[in-house]
Amino acid sequence: MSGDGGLTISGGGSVQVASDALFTDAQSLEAVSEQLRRAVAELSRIDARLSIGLLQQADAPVSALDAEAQIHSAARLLHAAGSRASTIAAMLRLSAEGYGRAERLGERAVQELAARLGYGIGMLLPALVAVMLPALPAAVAGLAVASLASPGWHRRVPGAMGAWFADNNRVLTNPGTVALVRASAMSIDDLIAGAFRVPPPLVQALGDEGAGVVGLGTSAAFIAATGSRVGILADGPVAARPRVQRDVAAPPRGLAERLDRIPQRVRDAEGRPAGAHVLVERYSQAGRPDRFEVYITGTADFSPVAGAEPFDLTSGVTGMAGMPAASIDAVRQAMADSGVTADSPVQFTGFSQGGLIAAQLAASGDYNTAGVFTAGSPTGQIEIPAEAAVLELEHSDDIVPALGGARTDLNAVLVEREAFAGRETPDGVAVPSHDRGEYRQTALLAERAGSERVRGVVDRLDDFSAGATSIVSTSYVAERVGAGR
Amino acid sequence: MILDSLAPLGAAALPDAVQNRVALLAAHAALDAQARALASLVRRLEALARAVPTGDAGSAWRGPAHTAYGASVRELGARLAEATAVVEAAQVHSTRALSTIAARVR
Repeated sequence: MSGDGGLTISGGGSVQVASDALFTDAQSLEAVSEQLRRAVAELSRIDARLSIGLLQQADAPVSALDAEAQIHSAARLLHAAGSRASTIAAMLRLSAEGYGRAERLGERAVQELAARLGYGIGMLLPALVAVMLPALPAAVAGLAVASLASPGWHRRVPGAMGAWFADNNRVLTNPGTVALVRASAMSIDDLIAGAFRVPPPLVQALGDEGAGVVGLGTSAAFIAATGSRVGILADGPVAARPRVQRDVAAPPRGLAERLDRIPQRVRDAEGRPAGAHVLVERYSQAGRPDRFEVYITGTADFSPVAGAEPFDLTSGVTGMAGMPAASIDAVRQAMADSGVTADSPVQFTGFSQGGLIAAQLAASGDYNTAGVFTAGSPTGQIEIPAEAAVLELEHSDDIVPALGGARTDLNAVLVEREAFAGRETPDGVAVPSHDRGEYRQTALLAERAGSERVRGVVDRLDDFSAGATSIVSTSYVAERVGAGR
Repeated sequence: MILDSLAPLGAAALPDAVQNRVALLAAHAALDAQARALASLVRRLEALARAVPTGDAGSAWRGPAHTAYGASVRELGARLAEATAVVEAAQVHSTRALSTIAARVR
């Protein structure tokens, strides 16, 4: 279901899911109903001013009596119209609730199916390995030859894969693929359990479909631990240092301005990394404690081998595992350096992995979090305290948020849009729907949304820094210490 | 109402001509206020009619539910228009009665 702006709204403490246009209509009808109720009350007051007795005493003309009769008739009609408006609004809300419940049921059914499938594949894994074992010497010999002929070939694999997906980007830029990725992410724990022959009832009781003791986080932890044994996804200590400090004229307004303030890691002409990872804005105002907004960049390096760049795939996996990822630690260091304490009111804004970090830090309870705004982030399984104003942007054809699994946090307001619905994807970009520019467009649409749920959170995010008389922004660059690559 | 407020002062004992004159003045004032209030209400209801959704609710929503919704909203608009017309008629009749009484007051 999507509206004219293509936005679908959910969350905000409700199971309702509908287009922004539908929620806006429901609000308009509720307002019309309220206005009609007031109009009926107004007619009642008008009627009370002029009694039939007075009209008779004044020997009033028939037209005065006609007016009286019409006032009574109008009151009945307005009352009926008000009831009608109220009923239609209630039906819209009910349909949004029904849609939301059906969607959750559907997601659950797919998740259960994917879990069984994952478990089955996991059980077959040892057999598959046994079948493929005779071919292992030949494969190892092939890899050895490849290494001799082209040293460092394994580092080029992600690039080659990226090039293939860039040429075939509709494969990934697809709501169907996104749903598959989400279901797969949720069933990795079942696959692992199947491979280790854990009894199915136990898997079900402990997994996402049961008590939720194991799930996406434990799967990510398993992958990180296994990977580190073969030299990949091995995280390490990090050091963040301030880069540039400057005064800022005004606090951000709206969502697009917040996205614009997120720093970006790029490569300069010589191929060296440039730009900051984290930007902290300190808002000061007489009579109030200093407030801080933390802007966090996304993944800058997609190689599975951890290097100096802490905002990489390794941090992404360890961060999803809920482990102390280098990128998360870098943000903590930047915050501490800026003067953020456990009591300082703080708001987080992050793109992609930056949003994952934002959600993790808000959920940690270590900070006095007033708000969180994320775009294209795998945050589905992270529950942020309900007191915080949380707004998350997701493209239904972007696989990155899907890596975070099924959404469990109903308090966060989720604004979804299919970025490439009915239009061509650009050439040469592997995941165009994850582009920051596309999310900026969605942010602008969300700012213009009529739904009070979205407007309410945007207002709260803006109110956080309103009235600041001095704003100092400090950007930070982080580096993994003693990285091997 | 003016007569009611005069009752404790012995308004009932006033001569008929005076009582009629007082009633006429009270009715004139009340009808004047009524006509003004009804005119204001008509303007508000006309503005309210513009706030009623068009019944489209997004280009991507199609099917029987969307059709039923559109019909319901159109019916609401028609009911509101009918009610507004009745309020307008009440205002016209109030103004007409006011003119008649005003002629008698002079």
